Amino acid sequence: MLKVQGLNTYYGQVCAIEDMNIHVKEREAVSVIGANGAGKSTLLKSIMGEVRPKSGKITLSDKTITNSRTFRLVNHGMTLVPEGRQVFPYLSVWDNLLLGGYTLSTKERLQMAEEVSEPFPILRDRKNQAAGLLSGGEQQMLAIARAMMVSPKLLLLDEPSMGLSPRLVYEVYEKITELHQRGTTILLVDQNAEMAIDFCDRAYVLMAGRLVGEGTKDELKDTEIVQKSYLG
Amino acid sequence: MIVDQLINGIVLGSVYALMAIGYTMVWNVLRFINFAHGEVYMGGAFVALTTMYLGAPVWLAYSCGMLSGALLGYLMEKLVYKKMRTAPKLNLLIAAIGIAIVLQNSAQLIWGASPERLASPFLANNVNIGGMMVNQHYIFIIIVTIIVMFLLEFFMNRTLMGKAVQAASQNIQATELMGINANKVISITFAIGSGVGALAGILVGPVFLVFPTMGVFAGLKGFTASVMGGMGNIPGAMVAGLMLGVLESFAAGFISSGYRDAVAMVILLAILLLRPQGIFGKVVAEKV
Ligand SMILES: Nc1ncnc2c1ncn2[C@@H]1O[C@H](COP(=O)(O)OP(=O)(O)O)[C@@H](O)[C@H]1O
Ligand SMILES: [Mg+2]
Repeated sequence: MLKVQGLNTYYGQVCAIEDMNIHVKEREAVSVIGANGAGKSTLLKSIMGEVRPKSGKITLSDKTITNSRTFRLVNHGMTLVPEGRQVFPYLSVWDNLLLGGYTLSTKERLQMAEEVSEPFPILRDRKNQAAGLLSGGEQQMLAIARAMMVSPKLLLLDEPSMGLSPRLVYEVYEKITELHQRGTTILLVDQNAEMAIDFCDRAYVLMAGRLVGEGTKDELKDTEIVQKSYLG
Repeated sequence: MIVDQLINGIVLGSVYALMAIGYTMVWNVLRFINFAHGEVYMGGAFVALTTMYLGAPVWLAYSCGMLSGALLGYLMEKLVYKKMRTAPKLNLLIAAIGIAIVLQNSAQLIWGASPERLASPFLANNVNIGGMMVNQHYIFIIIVTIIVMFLLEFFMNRTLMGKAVQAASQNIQATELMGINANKVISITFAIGSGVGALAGILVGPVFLVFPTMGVFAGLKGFTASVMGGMGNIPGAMVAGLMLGVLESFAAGFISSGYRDAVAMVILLAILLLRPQGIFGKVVAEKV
């Protein structure tokens, strides 16, 4: 479904992603793990058109999408839950959801808002409150629900567990697993390697902008490098 | 006398409020002050003047002026500011000042420097309000301003596009993740803010006349009001504009008319020094 070939992304002179090749198959759940600064966010931003790659090719369902504008990609069925949730803090929880369905018709939008908020009772209870007043975990739930408004075929998630207590991390992953089971293809990056590997079918390991390992969940759990660096 | 000054102040304040909206809306999406906004105010008034000169009825001339103002703001963003998105804000500021000067000189070239009166069907009549005669055009200015404020309030808070404009002012990158074309939102913001600014110029045209540098002081006043109201706060800009107009009018009436412009500058300095977030600031605190 998603194919990244020979991707290089630079910030000025600094290389953040070097000759990256990854792919995600339909209905797969794929994780990318790596330490802080490894280039995980840059990878997702390159895919999502938020930063411009220097070279390489990205295809989504066999269509070349390198250098496409972000909003166009959303309309093509791929969206991103960004690092740090990025909810609109001064808009209400409900307005955040509705904006997630900006491209839908009014009727569909209202229907989807009801649908995506169903698994998150807290979002319904606090629908008229400013989103900035939600806790970190609640904001993460909102960001995920908001991304689901367009029923993406491929959902990208950047550090969904960042800054959350262990119980909340578990809860967030539970929701993501649910989405996956209901048919959404998922590519997620996380520093929390344990959760990310546990969740996925397949994972990539990133280090200083380069791919240093890949494999299925079980393969990776046994790999020395992952064991040592990430799972302790 | 007091009521007289109050009405003058409200009329003046309406114009400042309309101007302030443009500064605040643009700041919201691009985080910079469009110092060429005063020239949109001037341009709109001149287009209305010319359209009327060509024989168009008043309502059509006023509408043409307003639409040209919107178009001028739109083009400014599309042709200049958009190319400078990633440049330092100082570059944008200098570009804006450059555009302002070019537009002033162009206006002088096309229309000449001598002030001209824009026609108004209301100017010749007075209305009796509680025994006091008030010019009908003043009432017209106040009513139009109230209508614009209601429309804007409706657009911003009751339509999805308005919500998108708010979203863009809070986090423009995340706005694109909603499938929203952020460039389009910025264009629409510029067009609306500029259209409202041009309307302000058209409304004062029959009273204070139309001339190439008319936007300089009006711009400064509108900017002051937007700072007073808290940059980016649209209702704040409206209220602050009215306050500034009334304060100025009282200063001019009770101290000396020479102090009129000084009042705005003193307020601007005081706010920048003592309360840079404006009188009203932001409504909700950000929590991450
Ligand atoms: N906007 C930016 N400008 C310059 N360098 C950046 C920028 N964003 C990230 N970087 C650098 O790129 C590298 C990868 O960053 P990032 O993709 O955010 O890593 P991760 O998400 O894995 O923590 C880091 O060295 C970081 O300092
Ligand atoms: Mg990151």
